[in-house]
Amino acid sequence: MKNNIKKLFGVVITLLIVFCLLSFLTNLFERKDSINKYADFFKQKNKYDVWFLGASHVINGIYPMELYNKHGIVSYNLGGHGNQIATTYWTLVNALDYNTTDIVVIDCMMISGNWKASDNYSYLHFTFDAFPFSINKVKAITDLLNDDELMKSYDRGDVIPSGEPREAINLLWDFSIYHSRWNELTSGDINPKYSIEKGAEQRISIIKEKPILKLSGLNMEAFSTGDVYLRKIINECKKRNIKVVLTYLPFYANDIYTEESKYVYDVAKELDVDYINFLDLDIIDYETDLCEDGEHLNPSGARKVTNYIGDYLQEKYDIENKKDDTKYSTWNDDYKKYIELKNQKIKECSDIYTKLMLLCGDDVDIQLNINDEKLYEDKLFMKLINQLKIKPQSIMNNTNNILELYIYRDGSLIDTLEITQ
Amino acid sequence: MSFNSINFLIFFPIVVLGYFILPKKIKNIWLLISSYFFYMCWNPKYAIILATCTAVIYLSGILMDKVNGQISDDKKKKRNKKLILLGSVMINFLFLFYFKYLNFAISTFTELFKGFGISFNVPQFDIILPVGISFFLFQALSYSIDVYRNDTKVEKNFIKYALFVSFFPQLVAGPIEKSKNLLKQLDKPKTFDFSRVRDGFLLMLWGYFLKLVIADRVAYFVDTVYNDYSFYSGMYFIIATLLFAVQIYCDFAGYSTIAIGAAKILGIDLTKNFDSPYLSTSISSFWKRWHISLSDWFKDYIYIPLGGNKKGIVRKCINKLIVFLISGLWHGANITFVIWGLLNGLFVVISDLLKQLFKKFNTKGLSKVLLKVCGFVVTFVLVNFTWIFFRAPNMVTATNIINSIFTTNNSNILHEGSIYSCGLDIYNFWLAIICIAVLLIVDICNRRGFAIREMIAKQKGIIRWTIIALSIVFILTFGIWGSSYNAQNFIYFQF
Repeated sequence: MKNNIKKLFGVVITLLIVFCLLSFLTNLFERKDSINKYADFFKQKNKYDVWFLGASHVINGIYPMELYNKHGIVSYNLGGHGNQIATTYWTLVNALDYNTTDIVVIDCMMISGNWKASDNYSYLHFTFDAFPFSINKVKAITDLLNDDELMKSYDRGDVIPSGEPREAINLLWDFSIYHSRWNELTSGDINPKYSIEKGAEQRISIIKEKPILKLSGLNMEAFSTGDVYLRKIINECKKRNIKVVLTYLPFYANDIYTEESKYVYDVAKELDVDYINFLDLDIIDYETDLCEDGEHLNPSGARKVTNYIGDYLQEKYDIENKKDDTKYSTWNDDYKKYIELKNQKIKECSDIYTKLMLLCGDDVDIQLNINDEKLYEDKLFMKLINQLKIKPQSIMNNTNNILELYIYRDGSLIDTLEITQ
Repeated sequence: MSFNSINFLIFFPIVVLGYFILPKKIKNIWLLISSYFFYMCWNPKYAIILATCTAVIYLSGILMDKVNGQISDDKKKKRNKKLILLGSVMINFLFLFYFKYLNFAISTFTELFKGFGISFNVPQFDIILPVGISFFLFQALSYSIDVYRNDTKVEKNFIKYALFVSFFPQLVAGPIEKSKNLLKQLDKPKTFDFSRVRDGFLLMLWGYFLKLVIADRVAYFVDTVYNDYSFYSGMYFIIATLLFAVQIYCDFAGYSTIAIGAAKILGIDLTKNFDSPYLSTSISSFWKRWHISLSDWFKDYIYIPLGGNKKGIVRKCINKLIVFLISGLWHGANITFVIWGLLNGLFVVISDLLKQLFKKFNTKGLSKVLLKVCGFVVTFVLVNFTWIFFRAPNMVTATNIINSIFTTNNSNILHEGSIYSCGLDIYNFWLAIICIAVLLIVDICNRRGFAIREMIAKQKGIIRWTIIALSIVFILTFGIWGSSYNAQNFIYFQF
């Protein structure tokens, strides 16, 4: 008997060592994009005011730190690249396992889609890797991988399957794919640097020409998979007494997207929720506020949209300003870091148009000196400086410079740009 | 269901648990159901072939037994038994011929007739080769022949016999068991024995190390070079061929070791299939240590019936060549395998003749050591030479590769780093080399009668547990598995 207990103890110890080592290695080998996005979300113990959910339009289009600075709203951007509405539903359900919120803002782009998840498998990793193993994670993965419409799209050749097989094990225990990263580990894997943008990502570029948007698999009809899951989201939120606001963020939308955005009015009315259709609003400038691809908002556009949503939420839901709330004091420290990040992004940018775009809506003072009349004929340049409300001065000293830009924040010079002839 | 699949890691513990929980009477039924489930995971239709072959051989055994009991005239008895044996062998070989050799035979005959100026279009059949057909057919046939020779008793219990043919650990890639060994063990299902289970588990771990860490890793290099052979030359082929020698050894020995380990956990001892073959100092010694169960099968059921070495030296050489020709065909329906087999046969014959010659010189001391070293080097080189035919897709490629090896001097790739762009980066390449060195040390230890597994078992509890845990984590971390890589199937499944 004693011998048997000893043997059993040996097996348990062996399994324990394996479990501990694998837990350590799973964290070490994991691709850090997902945890980078969600780390702050899991850290916060206090309730949120707002969560933003949707696809990349949300990630790139709504900045929680700006919302905090201007409106004192405590929010998190839970958008995921390529997220279909079904993926958004499961992101919300999983997020609710760890915290809660008063309001959920859902972007309804792709409501007419019938896929449950993106055809790009790595996007699912981006959305779910950071979530610990749980019943809801298993449910999410099981449901999202059971995606008949996506399979039909593969069969029809609408999309080409990515290399990685869509197997649940890869998402539930990501060591099964990331263990091969042992030879590409960097110091960033050992000491990961987490994003302080509260889930948002700045996509820094400026649109050059109007794009022709093509997206397969969309055909507006009621009770598409996206529609069904949007209703599930609203029901789930109503059950938990969470208010829902639907949005349709701005971009160069083609007819199908415009039709989608109109359809959401019906859903919002039917389910008695608020809806902001940015395609019908004149909030952004389509020549300066979109990225190169014309699909995503750049920081200039994102700040305008964030500001509008902040005003809307504050007015409509009377959200208490948390800036002086001691429970959320870490947000002030985070904002300081966020300012450093913004300064760094400004410094890294060498293109004048992009730099001016980055400054739009930011709390900076700008001095612009120009010594080239031709610049006044540049439409984009003039549009940007008009948005910044700056009056260019002439260059007085004897230099070859045709443009000098000085950027100050809180009275300190943070960056300069000189362009010579 | 492959041993390196997640499904097997779920399937196997369930089978083991069921086996030890269930009453003795139904243990074999449980194993039989599990074995058929295991096989049907590839393709449920395959099970029909497996069941048919099993039934045919089982019936042939029963019939031969009846002949033994009912006919007293020895001549008549022998003739009838021969007819039954022939019938069962024919039926089973028809299966094998249809699934494995039909297309090869058609294309060979078409080419042959073309040579005489007669050309005709014969369609190629789209036949999917059932996994491991050559293995279970040979195992089943060994029983039939043994019954015919009165070497083994007829098995009347169909469940037991069906389990003998389909026992899942060795069903698809051996070791090919003889009825004398396996059937007996199925008579008395074992109870749980911790030491045996631990021993089996350690064997499985070693098998997984060979397969996942070494074989599947070096496969990237081998496949890159051999699949795009027109882009490579000289030294690339030498390294790829050396690594293929490692790959096929680790792949096949890995499978056999996992099979032996899995069977051991279930209380069944399978025969050793590999015994440090690359440390051999002659080709004939290599073949006594490589795929031992198949070599034994050929020896018992082909070489000896052909007369073995009892009909003079010329006949002995011819017999060996015949055996190796069949061995080549067994490995694959392609002329490259035939050449591979014949070359090995030729080398074995020459090796035997030289052995006779060297016996006359009484070598001692340093000269004996030197002779052994020379024997080892020559054997290794010749075996590698034959692997080129085994791995190349066709004869033209094989000859081009050999030509390139002898005519291109690009040894600079070893230090300029371009070998790291052939499917394995510098880290993976050197990890493979380190693991191959570990394999070499273990093989040397085995050859000297020192089993590392036993050494681990003798360690104090915490050390032993830590070693086992670290080994598991090492294999999971550095093994090629999961979706990021397309894990290779075991090479020997295709035979």
